[in-house]
Amino acid sequence: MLCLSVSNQDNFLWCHFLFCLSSIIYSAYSTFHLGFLFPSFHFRGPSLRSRHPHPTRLQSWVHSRTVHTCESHNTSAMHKAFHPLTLTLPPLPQITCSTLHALTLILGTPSGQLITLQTDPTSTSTTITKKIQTPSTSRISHLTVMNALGLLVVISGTQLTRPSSHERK
Amino acid sequence: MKESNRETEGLAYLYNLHSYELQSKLEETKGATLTAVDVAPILINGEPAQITKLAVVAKKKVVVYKWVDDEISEVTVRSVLDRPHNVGILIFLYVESRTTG
Repeated sequence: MLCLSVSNQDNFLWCHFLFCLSSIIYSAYSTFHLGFLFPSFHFRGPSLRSRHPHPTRLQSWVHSRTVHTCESHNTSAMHKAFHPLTLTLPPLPQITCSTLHALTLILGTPSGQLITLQTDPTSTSTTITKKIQTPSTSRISHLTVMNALGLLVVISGTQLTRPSSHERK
Repeated sequence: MKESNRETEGLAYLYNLHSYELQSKLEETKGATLTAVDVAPILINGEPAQITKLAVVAKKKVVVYKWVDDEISEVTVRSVLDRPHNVGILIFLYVESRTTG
């Protein structure tokens, strides 16, 4: 009923105003990438973590008794970008191996301990959430997660020192 | 000059992923050094199921454990000419075990 009471000229001006407004918004979006106007638009770069609190994937490895971790973002289907992620790690005993399960890092020690580190992706700080001694006090040398079965494969054993052929002579 | 060979005499164990409770000891894996896991969906009598395979390198053999959903269905032991030293070789052997087994 409201539309019917508006004259043709007013109607034209109203349409013109809407057209101009949409053009301004579109050009602003194209030029400045105004993500706030289009919530589905994803920023890239440093603000990524704040908009996506859960990193795509964490990669980790153990070298020289230190756990190294980096964050991986899928930038396209065929290419992955790896960004170093600085984690604040709590004091840890000597680590022999590690594996990842969701946002937790499972670590093995030379004395047969299993340690779980939980990462808070918003603050990138890490805390020990679980620390248990396995029945074996031997060195844990390998860890693998079997998510589908809810199992963790652990290889542990004693390190043997065998005499070389030179010594046997 | 004295030399010595340091070698790990490992054994593979299965723990509950969440409670870390020991589930089983894989006795066939004495001398274990490496593992690889593969998960694949299949259809059994038209019903979707999941096959999980765990390969463990133990000295000069590769032990492959196969689960259908959460029940273990098969354990195979394959001998190899030399001890595999890296995961690449293990994956190669594992792919072979998938195609033939």
